Amino acid sequence: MSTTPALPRPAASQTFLWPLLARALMLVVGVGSVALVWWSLNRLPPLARQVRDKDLTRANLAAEVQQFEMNWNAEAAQILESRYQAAHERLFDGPEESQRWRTAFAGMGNALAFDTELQLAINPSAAPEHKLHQLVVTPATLRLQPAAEGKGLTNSPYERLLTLAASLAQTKRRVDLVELSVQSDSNSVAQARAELRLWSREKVNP
Amino acid sequence: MEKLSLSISCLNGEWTALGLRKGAPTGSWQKPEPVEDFAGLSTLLEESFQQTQPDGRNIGIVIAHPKLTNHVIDVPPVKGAKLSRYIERRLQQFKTFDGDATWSHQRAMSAKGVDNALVHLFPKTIFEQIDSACREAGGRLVRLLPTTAVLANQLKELPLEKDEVALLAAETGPSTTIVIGRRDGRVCLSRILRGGWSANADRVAVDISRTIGFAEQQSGLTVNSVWLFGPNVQARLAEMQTLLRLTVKPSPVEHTPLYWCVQGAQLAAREDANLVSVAAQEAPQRWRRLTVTSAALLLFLLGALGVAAYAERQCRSDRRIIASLDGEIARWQRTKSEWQARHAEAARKKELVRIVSEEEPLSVPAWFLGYLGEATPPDLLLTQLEIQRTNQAWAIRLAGTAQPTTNDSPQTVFREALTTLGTNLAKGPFHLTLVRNGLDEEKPASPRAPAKAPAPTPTLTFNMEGVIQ
Repeated sequence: MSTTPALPRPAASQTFLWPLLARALMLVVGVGSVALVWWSLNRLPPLARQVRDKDLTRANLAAEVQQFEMNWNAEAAQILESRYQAAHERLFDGPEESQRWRTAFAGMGNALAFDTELQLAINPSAAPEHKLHQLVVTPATLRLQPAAEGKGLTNSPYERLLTLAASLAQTKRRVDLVELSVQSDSNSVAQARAELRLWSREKVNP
Repeated sequence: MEKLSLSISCLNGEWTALGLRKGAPTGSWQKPEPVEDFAGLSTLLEESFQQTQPDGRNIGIVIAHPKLTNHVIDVPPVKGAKLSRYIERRLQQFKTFDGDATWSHQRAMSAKGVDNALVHLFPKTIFEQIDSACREAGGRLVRLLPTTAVLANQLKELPLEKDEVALLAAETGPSTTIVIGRRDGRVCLSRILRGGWSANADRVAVDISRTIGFAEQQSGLTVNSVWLFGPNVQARLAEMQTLLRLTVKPSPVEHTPLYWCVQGAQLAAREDANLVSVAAQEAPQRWRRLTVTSAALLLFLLGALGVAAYAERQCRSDRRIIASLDGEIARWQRTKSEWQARHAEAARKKELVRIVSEEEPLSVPAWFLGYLGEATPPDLLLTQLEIQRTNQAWAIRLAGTAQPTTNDSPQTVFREALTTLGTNLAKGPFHLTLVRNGLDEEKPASPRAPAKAPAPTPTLTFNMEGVIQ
């Protein structure tokens, strides 16, 4: 009985290498799969939480806006706007207009036979409580003294002072008479002094 | 051990095949002419499959081959892998052929207090040739058993005493397989002799005698009986007994042409001395395990990828939602800011209206000045008027004097006029609250004036202070 030639013997290292590699590969695949699942599932909660938070924020904002809308009364706003315009109209449009008014009022005092002296404070600044509204209240001092002989007018200085005070009250712009001091003698008013407050809009430099 | 489908005995060229289905024979076939070599082994196996029609492709072979040798060696008292490594190291000492060897072992009788092992050696090239032929024939070699291993198992069926040592010889084709051992199946020597007693009884008897002598010398035991197993035992029994000069008995085990095939399929795996390595035997199971594990891992990997894909899709969806929500939030914030600005502007305007229009003081000084002309009695002369705004009220200060009068009692007139003025101011439209209503009366300058002279008129003045709320 004869035999065929010997077949090449597989290397011993290969015998152990391939199972080892196969096991390593399986381990890698298994661990990799577990890691993949873990990583995948762990990505979801933060995003879901973010979605919830954003949705809550959006809902809160929507509710706030709705509350704003509900609180808004268009009719009242229109009335307020007209009142605001009216209030605005009561203010001097800056120091130039105040000066013009001063001149005009002094002229009126002179016309009513008073030696009229009206001094406006220089560079008045807005009070802190009025800063927001850009309001400037300018103090002014008015000194009146009846002219000699009444410049031909027949009515008494008292009556003329009343006329002047009434015209002050009827001024288109707001002028507050905060103090009035009158001295008189047996004839009538001898002199008068008034402290005024002129309300104007602050000129904002561009 | 996997069940055999085709059990073959190849006894030095005698080829017998037994097909099996679930352990039961399906057919048998004996090659008429002897197998000269293993060159056409795959064809022979295919024919065996065809002739016996087994159920399956697992092949087991009981082999008696000139290159298959048996050696009893002393071994240390170790087991398992350590014993295998020990035998592996010693192989080179008794290997009788070139090249690598395939080997197996089984426990042998202890001799002189030393453990022994029966080692079967077979050239690896021939083993691989057989294995390759099995694969080519579409089968798988799962058992390759030496006849000595099968025969050693038959020792258990001999009617031997407890420590009796016997020689069992079996005619295996043109050779004789002999084992010397006890009834527990452990042997102290095994050999395959050329020739059989059917053809050459003298020579076989001589070889058996020498073997017995060698065994007794090596082990220090005495072989008490010789048992013969084979097809022509009864015919040669007397002759063999004469030649051996020992008690020769026929084996009680019935000999059939398929005995070796049946034993090859039925021999317990624990002591079968299978030349097919455990690794090779378990290769299919390992492959199946590998396949199942790989499939499971693949499924797991696919599942993981599925989960990852789902998570990715969910993440993208969430990111889209977040982006959309961010847009909405920005829009709502703009709207809110607009509304806040609108409300703030309205509040500012309202405040301006309050400051400019609602808090504008009334022209009280002018009105009061006018009212004084009406409220002042003619007996009084006002010399001074001061009106000053203090917080939410107006502080009034009046000063005056009495008008010159011809009345005899100017003080009375003055008082009445002053009272009238006070009443008018308090009850008039301004509701002046008087806080001081002073009457000043200046006395004449000289108290020593003549008594008859007319009394000088005192200077009557007043000061009045009040508040208009």
